[in-house]
Amino acid sequence: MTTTIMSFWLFCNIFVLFQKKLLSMILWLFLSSIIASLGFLFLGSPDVAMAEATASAFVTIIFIVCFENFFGIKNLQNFIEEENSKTRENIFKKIILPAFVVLCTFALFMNFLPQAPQDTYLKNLYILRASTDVGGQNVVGAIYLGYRVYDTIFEALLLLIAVVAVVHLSHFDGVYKKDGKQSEVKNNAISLFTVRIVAPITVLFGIYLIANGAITAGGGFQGGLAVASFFICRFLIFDIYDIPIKKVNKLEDTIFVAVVIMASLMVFHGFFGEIPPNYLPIAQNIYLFIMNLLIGIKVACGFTILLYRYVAIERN
Amino acid sequence: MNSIELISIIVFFLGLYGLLTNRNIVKTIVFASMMEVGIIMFWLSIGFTEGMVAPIVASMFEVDNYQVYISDPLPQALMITAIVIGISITAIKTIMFITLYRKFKTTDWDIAKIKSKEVSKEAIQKG
Amino acid sequence: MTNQYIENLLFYFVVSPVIIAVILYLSGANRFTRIVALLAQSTLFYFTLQNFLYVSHTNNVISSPVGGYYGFMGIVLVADMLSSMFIMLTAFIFLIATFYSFSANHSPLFWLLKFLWQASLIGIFLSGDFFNIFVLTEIATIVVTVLIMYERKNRNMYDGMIYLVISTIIVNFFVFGVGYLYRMTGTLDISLVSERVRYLYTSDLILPYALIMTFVGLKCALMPMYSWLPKAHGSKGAPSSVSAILSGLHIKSGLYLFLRFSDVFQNGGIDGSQIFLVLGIITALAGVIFAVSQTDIKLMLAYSTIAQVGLILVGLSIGDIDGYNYVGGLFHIANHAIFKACLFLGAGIISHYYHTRESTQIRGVFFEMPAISIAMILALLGIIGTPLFNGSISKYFLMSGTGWDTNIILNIVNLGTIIICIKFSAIFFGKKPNIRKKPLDIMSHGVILLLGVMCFLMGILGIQTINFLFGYSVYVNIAGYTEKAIIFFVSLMAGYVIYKAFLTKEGPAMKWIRTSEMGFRGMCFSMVAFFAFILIAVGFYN
Repeated sequence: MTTTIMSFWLFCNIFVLFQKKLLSMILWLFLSSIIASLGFLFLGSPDVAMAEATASAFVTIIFIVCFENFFGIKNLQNFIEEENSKTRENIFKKIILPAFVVLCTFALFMNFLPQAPQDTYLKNLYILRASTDVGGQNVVGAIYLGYRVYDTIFEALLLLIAVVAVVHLSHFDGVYKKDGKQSEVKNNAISLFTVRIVAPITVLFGIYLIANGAITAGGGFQGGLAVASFFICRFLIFDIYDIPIKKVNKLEDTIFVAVVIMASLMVFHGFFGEIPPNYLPIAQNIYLFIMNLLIGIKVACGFTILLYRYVAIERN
Repeated sequence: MNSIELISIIVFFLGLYGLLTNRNIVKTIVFASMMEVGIIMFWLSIGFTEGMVAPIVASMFEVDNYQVYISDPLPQALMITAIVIGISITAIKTIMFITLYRKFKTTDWDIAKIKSKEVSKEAIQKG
Repeated sequence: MTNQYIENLLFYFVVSPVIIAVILYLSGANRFTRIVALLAQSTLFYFTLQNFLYVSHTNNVISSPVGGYYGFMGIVLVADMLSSMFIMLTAFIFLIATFYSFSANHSPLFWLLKFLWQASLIGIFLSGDFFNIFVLTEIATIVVTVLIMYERKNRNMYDGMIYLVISTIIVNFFVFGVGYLYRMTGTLDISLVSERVRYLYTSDLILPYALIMTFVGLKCALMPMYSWLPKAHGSKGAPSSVSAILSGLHIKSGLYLFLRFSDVFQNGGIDGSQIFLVLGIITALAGVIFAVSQTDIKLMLAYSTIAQVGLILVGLSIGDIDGYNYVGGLFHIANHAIFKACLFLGAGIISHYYHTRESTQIRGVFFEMPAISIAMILALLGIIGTPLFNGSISKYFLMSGTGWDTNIILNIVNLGTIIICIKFSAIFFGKKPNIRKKPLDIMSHGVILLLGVMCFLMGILGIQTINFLFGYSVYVNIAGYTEKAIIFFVSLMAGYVIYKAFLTKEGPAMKWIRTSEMGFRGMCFSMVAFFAFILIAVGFYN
């Protein structure tokens, strides 16, 4: 069953290679990411499945929306390599040589594939000890909020840097000039359905995921992405650009500092002092809940700002 | 030798092939993203048996009975990190592409290289 | 000063630059930003020095699990003598850069990026966990991309795009290799993995080795994956302190990772030192040839970085860890940081006042800015290996005990470096140009002069410096050193003759070398080819 789903994923990826138009390539990639997300569910990882589903939606929105804003949606469909017709030399060399090189490397790769069986040292330790060491029932949440909270600090930091980079690397002066034209997708059935039914369910589901990250599958990142999608809907469908971006930016940075402080407290002193009270379930649950909440708010702010910057790029 | 591991390796090499053949910048971003999903699938296929359960333990007593069928929690935590990193970087790459297009008016790597050399030559001559 | 105190300190080395960065960014632009930045850098340097002294005196390896969890379930920060030396070097170079850019009133964004870069580099040097290195490398990549395109007027979008896309593609190889290692050993901790690979078959480790070493090869800019380095280090939109830190420090993280990962795989039975010896030699020769053909002063320095990194790799790969070559390689890492930082910072000031970076258009720097010229001449003497300077000590140890063929090639590389420096030093002489007088900036000039003088001091006190920094007691054979000095003077004269005869005017061959550049697809090809080469070399040679 799982192998069947995975082979559908493989075929989607093969079809990505054979597209000529950019829009169809992006859509096939989106389809393959959705099938991969379903496959992750069958591989026993609901957390990763949720993260991948929301992340792939986000990436596709970035590709389509910013190009739509920039090139116009009609041009996107014909957005192929215009310069290709001028330099058509050696078309076989450009296709056969890479295929040969990749096939040789693939054969070498398969030749040296490691045969050693899996060593389950850490896996068994985590499953046995996570609920007493860190608390909660979601072992994955316990890992990235307890054992490897150091990595989570840097992941949140990377999100902050991504927002800074996007602002600095675009020719954007910080003042959005609405060009007066309503978005073309405003009044049809899909957008109305999205706004009336899907968006409220999504944001409720996101809040549920953030709040219950310690008990069931979910957590700050997935919930934050889902909540961000609500705000993204507002300005994609309705052209409402009333989000105070500078304040949201400052909020995000402040929450990042709060995340780091919480994590450092956890690392050094246990959340409530010395070690025996740290093992109290109430202390552990409070810590997990607050961390999930902070990370959820931060991720939601970060991705909203990111996409807002995209949509607000002036059309050429 | 896992069937899912094999599929993920094939997808990784498909992404690599796509990088080697296309000259369009946006398409290379798409293929780089495809390579990342292949790696994520590879990590999650590490302890694969059919019918794995998510690692959410209600109590420690039930764990002993089902231990062999619980999926590995560590790759999942790492892959959530990897997914978030991947989409942040894809976002940065697309914004850089838009700025590059605005300046050079091309979507081709080789033509962008030629134009960037012309720009630097002009800067040298202007002094 | 206890073990527990130092263990806590390691976490704060990484996290405090992050907090300071975000607080400086949040507080906006005001008078105190750069003062706070300077104080923070000085404090950090003081504490890293304290940590280094403790680790070198007690000879302990400080291993501090973040959170104190049982076994290796968490992430462990490891500070042995090598890591402590590197983080002290990091704090020092960033302190120098802060002094340099003190007078230019940078926005809070600049300080945010600088401190975050410092945090990611310190994190890489202290990290004992594979996946943590991945996350920190991605942070460093993004920060460097924004920094090399910092100035909006001069930025070249193509440079930044190539650097970002290539770096993020190669990191996929790394994560792949770590995935295989995790599957086979059940853990991600570097020290635990090095113990567990002893129980694995060597043939199982070949593929992870190739994947991880491809990543390390690109980070060290080995042939054929060197093309990103001139674009990043010689980028026109980068402030000069950024180029200095890039060439002085950022590329050393690649070498550090090379040392750590080679240790891990050596326990498993894979010995790649022959491969990296050959790769280092090829990189050094190619770097020298490319550098000689350049006319832009920063690109000359960037290509010369490639050559020196190749030389360091040769030193680290010959012989074993107790030998003189290894010490020479390590000392050359520290030396190269000092003289490259000095040269880049000086070149930044020169190009700012002459409004150009072409070495053919810059003349008479010695009369215009004597302090900087003296400092840069000291650094140039250091890099070519003049006796009594630091470069000569490290090169002497690097080349000790090698066979006659390797010796000849390394001497050719030295000759090439001499030619590059002679071409570079043409900017100092000539007639004084007609540019307006500029105010003397004590901080930036003083700091460059400090670096230049350090080149000389680290040469005279070379043995003591090596003992202090690395804990090796070495001994310089007077006869061998004198022989090396004679070879140096002969190469100096030969270099001058070759320069005058062939290189004062640019011939067609030089022009072709200078303008040839690998496109994006060429770089991807080179990555795949390097990966296949390592697979074949290790797989069929072991």
